[in-house]
Amino acid sequence: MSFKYLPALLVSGLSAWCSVSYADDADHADHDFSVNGFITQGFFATDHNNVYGESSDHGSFDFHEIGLNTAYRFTPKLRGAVQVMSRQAGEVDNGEPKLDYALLDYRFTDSVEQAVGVRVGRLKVPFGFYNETRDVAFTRPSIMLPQSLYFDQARDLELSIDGAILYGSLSAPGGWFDIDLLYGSPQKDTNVEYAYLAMDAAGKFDDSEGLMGRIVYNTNNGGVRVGATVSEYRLSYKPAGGSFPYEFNKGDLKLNVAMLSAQYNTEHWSLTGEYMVHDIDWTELGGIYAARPKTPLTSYYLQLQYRLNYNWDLLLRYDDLKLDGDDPQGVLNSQLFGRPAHNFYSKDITLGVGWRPNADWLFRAELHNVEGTGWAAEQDNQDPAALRKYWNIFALQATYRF
Amino acid sequence: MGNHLMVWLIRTSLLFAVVLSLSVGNAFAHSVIVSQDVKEQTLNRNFLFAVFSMRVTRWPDGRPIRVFVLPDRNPLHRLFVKQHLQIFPYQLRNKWDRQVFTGAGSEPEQVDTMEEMYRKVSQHKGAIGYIDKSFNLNLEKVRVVDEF
Repeated sequence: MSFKYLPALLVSGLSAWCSVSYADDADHADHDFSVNGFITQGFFATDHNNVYGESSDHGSFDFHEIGLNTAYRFTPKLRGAVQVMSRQAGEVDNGEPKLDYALLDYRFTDSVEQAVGVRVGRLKVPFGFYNETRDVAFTRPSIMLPQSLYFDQARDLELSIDGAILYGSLSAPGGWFDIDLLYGSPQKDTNVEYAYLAMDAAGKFDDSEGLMGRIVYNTNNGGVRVGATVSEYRLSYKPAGGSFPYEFNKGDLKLNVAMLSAQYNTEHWSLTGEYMVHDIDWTELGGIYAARPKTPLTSYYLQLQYRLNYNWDLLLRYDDLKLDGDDPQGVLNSQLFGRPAHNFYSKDITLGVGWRPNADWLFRAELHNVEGTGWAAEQDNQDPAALRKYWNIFALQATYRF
Repeated sequence: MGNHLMVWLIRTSLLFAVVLSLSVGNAFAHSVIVSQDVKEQTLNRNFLFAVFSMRVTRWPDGRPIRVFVLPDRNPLHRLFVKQHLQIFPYQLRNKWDRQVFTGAGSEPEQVDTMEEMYRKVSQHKGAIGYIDKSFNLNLEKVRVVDEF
């Protein structure tokens, strides 16, 4: 099933409809039509290794996120929404504006007991607590999300999907369930090759298919949230006739994810943890991965947020990634792939502070003390031999929303 | 002199009568108000929670709900959210942001003053908001569906 032209179709349809129905009712228009956006600028400095540009030289300003979205309510049951994003992030993202989502949302039922609907088009991927709004600084607890689960390298795969979501909010004893079931075709580009093949391969992923389900139980009015996400992705690799070790066989790369999420909120504290096992199966692709065709990527983080008041918040987090959960020190993988062992794991201790002078502005500063280079992007660190095992990141971020 | 006093007395008592007839039964509670076209006579806390978190977007008769709120830091907003909805303002804000920036929903319309809240709720169909106990409501324009 191909969803290739769905977003384009939706956007043209939406804009046509907007221009017709927007004009006829001034009162409704100001309510039914909305525009929102944000601009984020980041600064990153590292003592070794690079994040978002050449941060280890004199620091890097090579990071921005700009988003603009609009939504329109056609009828009480039917909504449409579009967001365009530009993201510059070192060599990983070049700032070219992209259609982030473009969807139609039809809500069948709308009550406390059950609010159920379907969304079609280009959709944000409902993965864990933070993935859907990972690029929106106001919704993040920190400048960088825990990279073990929300690794920036594979972001395009995790970002949005062309397809359909069946969603529902169903009341349950003591609270309610939020449920999302998704089917579609994930984004696949060179960054996905870097993330899963560790290189810009000769061929490319020419087709993709993904199935995902997320269920979150909310109790105590959302004070406690417990969730599970499972997904199954297939990316079909099409060789371009390159030669070993830069080429692979025609076949499917299979990605399975199982994730548990939990959060406890009080007025001043939020404690959040997520645990993920991400099975990566290269069997059909072979090539250099024939040596170890299946690995369980294993990761978790624990995060404590403290809100002093409306203006200030603090963050402490421990984030742990093992690219191969069966080889936590990377010893075996180091021998097999000729990369340093620390390239197969990362342990990141993060300290952060946020300042919100008013509702429109947010400033953050944070420190990362990192052991291992498991999530250091190949694009910004072209020579794996030059990577250092122990490194630190200092980051600043300013965001304005409207 | 006596005339003046009489006029003043009459004026004052008239004013009191008008004020009394316009204000809510219980002058010691803040009110959740809806526009006159809303059919519901009372709204329970579960429904209010779902409405203000923008999880439920239509009235039981199928017409869209139009939600008005004061700014996050407004004392009445904080009181309403914390005491009545039993959630913290930052949690509501997170929910709204998540919906707005994923295309999954919208956020309430923000008003800056009590007068604006009253005017918007009274003038728009399917509207809901909340208002301070000290505010004199004209019950021909809005209806009180809950108190806190």
